[in-house]
Amino acid sequence: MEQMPNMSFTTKHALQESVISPRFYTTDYKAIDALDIDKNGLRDEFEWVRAEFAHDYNRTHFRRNEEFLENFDDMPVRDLFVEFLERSCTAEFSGCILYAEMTKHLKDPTMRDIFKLMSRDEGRHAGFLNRTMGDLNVALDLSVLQKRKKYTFFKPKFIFYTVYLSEKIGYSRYINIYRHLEKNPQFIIHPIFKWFEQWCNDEYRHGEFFSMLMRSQPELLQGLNQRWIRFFLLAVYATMYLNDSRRVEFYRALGLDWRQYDQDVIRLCNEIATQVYPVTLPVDNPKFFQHLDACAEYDRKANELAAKGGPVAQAQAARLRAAIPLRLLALFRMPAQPTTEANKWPGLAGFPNYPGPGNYVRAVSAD
Amino acid sequence: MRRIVGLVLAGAGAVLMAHWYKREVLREGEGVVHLQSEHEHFHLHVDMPPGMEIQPGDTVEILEMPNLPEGRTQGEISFPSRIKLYKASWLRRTLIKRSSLVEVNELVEHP
Repeated sequence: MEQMPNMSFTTKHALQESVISPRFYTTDYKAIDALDIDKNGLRDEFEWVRAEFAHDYNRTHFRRNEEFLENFDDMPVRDLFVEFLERSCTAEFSGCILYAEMTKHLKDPTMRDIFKLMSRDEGRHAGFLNRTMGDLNVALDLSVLQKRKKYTFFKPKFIFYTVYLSEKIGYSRYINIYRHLEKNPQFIIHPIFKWFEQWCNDEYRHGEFFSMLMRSQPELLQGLNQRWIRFFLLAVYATMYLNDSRRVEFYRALGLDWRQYDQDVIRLCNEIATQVYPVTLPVDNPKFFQHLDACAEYDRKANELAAKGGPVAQAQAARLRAAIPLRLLALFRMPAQPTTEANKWPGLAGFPNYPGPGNYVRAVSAD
Repeated sequence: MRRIVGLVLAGAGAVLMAHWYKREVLREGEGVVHLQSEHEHFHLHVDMPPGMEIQPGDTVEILEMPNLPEGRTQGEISFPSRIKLYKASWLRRTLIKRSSLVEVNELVEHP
């Protein structure tokens, strides 16, 4: 597929300025650099991951075809689609920045290369989304990048737990949409969804690296850290559930019931997470989704009340919002699902697995 | 009387703490901004001026940005720019390091 030239076209929609607000983090880079990735004999596996990333499976994938140049003025849920692109672009761009910061600060050449190659992928994804917004006459307001940017801080282990989950749930989201649209092409409202299958393989591959990174440091998966694992699993699932419950129309336009879609995504992500986490959440316990549904319902009602205005409605909205953390606490207190040999994720069919020492072509440094 | 003095001292302490929290030290220097905003890639990196290190709670401001039509570049562009680094106070840095879980939603957002 050849890359299409930049072509101008007309649209009845006024030029819209899109403001993305990327997030900026710092972490304890010295602590990450001090991680001994050799200690469990995993150095060669890290080298294999570097070779996999350097192979760049999707080098030619993100090329648009003529389908992108059609007129999308009257596409369904256009505004929600633009918002979906903005949110996705922000997430990809933030990932690109985080990985680039790691590249700058880390000294281990293998780790530095891996982060550099992952930053390449995230920047590529962000660029693809950015261009798609341009097709819809949505221009990025880059002045936002000039504004004062606050740097927040996360401990390295929090970054590993959450970024791993973010990559894996990103994979689960994209592949579920792709498979659904493959069976129901009448709901393909924009060609970008046809790119999701190979795109999400990048996300899956990045997650594999973080999985290995955590396996190389077993203490991250033991003792009290298992509580952190449950906390972040819940944070990721609940954030997605509440976000998507506010975008019912978008998923309906794709022919999806948001609730069923989210539950499928959570189940798949939870299953994948057993590849590294010794405990996951009890998603097959009926109470699990009952609690999440209750959170979504409180959130919906609270938003409705807040929109009405007035002190009584605001107080009622606040009461409903306060009920959400209680439900989340109840979810957190549910007995975790231990990972066993029987329920452990066997790996993705057709996805390359580590072939053993020396059975692959070594990557050249990305520098 | 004691109660009033106590309240005044507590108030003064709170004001001092707030000032301490908000206090920033401004450093400024010449950095290099690398920006690529196109179909193939979208990223922004800043090479900070020598001797400037970003720590938790600090804020960075890029003072110059070229005017780009529709916010797009042709390939990566690199340009020098004055960079302002507002160094956070010790109090703010410590609080941000210890309270990052409050902002965990930022980290768990995904496409």
